[in-house]
Amino acid sequence: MRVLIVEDEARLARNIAQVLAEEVSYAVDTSTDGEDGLHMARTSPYDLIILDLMLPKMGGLEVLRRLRTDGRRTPVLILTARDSTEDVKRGLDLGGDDYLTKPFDMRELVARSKALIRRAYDRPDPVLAVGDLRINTATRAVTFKGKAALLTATEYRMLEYLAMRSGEIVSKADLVDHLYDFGSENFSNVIEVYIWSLRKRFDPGPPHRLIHTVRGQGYVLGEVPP
Amino acid sequence: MRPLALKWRISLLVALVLLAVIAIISVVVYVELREALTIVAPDAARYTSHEMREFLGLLVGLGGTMVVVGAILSTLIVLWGLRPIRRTAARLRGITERNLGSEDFAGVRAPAELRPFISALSETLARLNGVLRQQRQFTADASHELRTPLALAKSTLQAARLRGRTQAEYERAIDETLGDLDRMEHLMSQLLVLARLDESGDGPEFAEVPLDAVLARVVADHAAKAAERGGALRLAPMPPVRIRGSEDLLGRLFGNLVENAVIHGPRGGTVRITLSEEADGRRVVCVHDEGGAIPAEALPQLFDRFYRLDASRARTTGGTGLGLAIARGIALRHGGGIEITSSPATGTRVRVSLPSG
Repeated sequence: MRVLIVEDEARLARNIAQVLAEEVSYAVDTSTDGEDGLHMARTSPYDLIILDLMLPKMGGLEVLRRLRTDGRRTPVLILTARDSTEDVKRGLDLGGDDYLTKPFDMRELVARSKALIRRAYDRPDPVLAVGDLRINTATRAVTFKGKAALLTATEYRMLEYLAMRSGEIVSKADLVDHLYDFGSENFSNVIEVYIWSLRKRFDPGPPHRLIHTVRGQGYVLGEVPP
Repeated sequence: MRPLALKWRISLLVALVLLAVIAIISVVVYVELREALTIVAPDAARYTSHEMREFLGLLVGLGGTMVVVGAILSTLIVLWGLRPIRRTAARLRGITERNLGSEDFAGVRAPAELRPFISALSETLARLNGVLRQQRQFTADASHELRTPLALAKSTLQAARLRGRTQAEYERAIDETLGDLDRMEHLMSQLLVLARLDESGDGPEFAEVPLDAVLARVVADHAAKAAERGGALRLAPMPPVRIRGSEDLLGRLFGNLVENAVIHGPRGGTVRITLSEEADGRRVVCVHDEGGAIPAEALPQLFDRFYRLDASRARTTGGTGLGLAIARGIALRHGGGIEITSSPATGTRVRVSLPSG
């Protein structure tokens, strides 16, 4: 999952990015003004945008309005010091999906972020089940055939993303876009390496029954669509 | 005794006037008729006096009816005339802090005599609304300014606490949090100064203050900061001057101005502080830096609370956005004034005038 934080207090953005990366293995980009944030949100496919309202160059509400006018469906969590009912109402009415006021609890922010992303992928159940795999997105515990499996952060990140879109073809470009931030050195053969290591754990083949390769298109976790 | 309602006053007045008129008419008519009848038919005086009484009764009955009808009519007229006032009052009753600014009494059809009254009312409401809006804005800004460092401190400590960190990481988290606490502390003390300035009246702290010495101390306090930025502070030679005021507040006032000039003026620039006397005896202190990049449209807002030319830049220099608001508050408290001019050719100059007494 990849998250964009638009927040002019660089240290706050850094703290949130650190916690999201450590606690839920999200790839995080940060931007410190509205114009730049809007540009980033328009050019990369984020799974969540955490948006401050008082931003230099362009206010957060304007960023939100423009994103929604563009037809972008990315969930937006408004994170601001403004706490009046009118502000909350305005933010949600303009297309915001959630509203959290500063100061906030990091654990709450993480939980809300996870919930927003679940909803965006139409997965209300925090436990994703694919075949014999159970991925608890709340605790990040993965079990395979009832036994706990310990994954590295990157392996988990990829498995969670594939499971959110299980039954769909996920292209390699999608994986790169949603699993890596701008700061990471990503090479598309890294994707193959992680697919290989996931298969080794859960789907030793051939033939592969859990993680399928669709030639020229990408990968599918679970049933290949007809 | 409660004053009588307008409608009763006017109807009573009308009734009394009508009564008086009818009484006079009756007396005149009675006297005239009697004389006439006595002359024309002196023998028939017995009959005439009977008829005369009938006539008089008719006159009194008619008059009485006129008085009652007149009183009722005048009451109705007064009620009708007062209708715009009743409407206005109903509108006023419906005013809350939410619709204060939108009431213009457009639906009230007031006669010319009442129009000045109603327009004065709506002007008062608009003024009140302005004050209220400013107050609300201030509260919103203050809460934002306080919440931001709080959010920073909390997020820093929580991020540090979520898992085991190295000694260096803990130290950084603590140092950053201490910085946030400093920022909050500074803001709190500025807000307290502003709150005290809002209390009106000549405080007990007012005394004879050596203005030249206050300025010299301010310059000494900020010399290091100016040197750090490669600039200098120049205090023009000045005679000893004493004014009535608070030494602490005046020190804050000029401290804020000099600090602004040092931080927001160009790097390596010179800040000049001068003290002069006006023809009317007022003392004028000017703080003059070599900047001049303040856009003209921003000048009037510079003294507003939490106004910042560039939000992100001011935050990194540690400004609260209250310095100039406090400076103006202090100048006003001393019965003085403050103004600012800025142009690339002449630099930025803040001019404070203070009464000499």
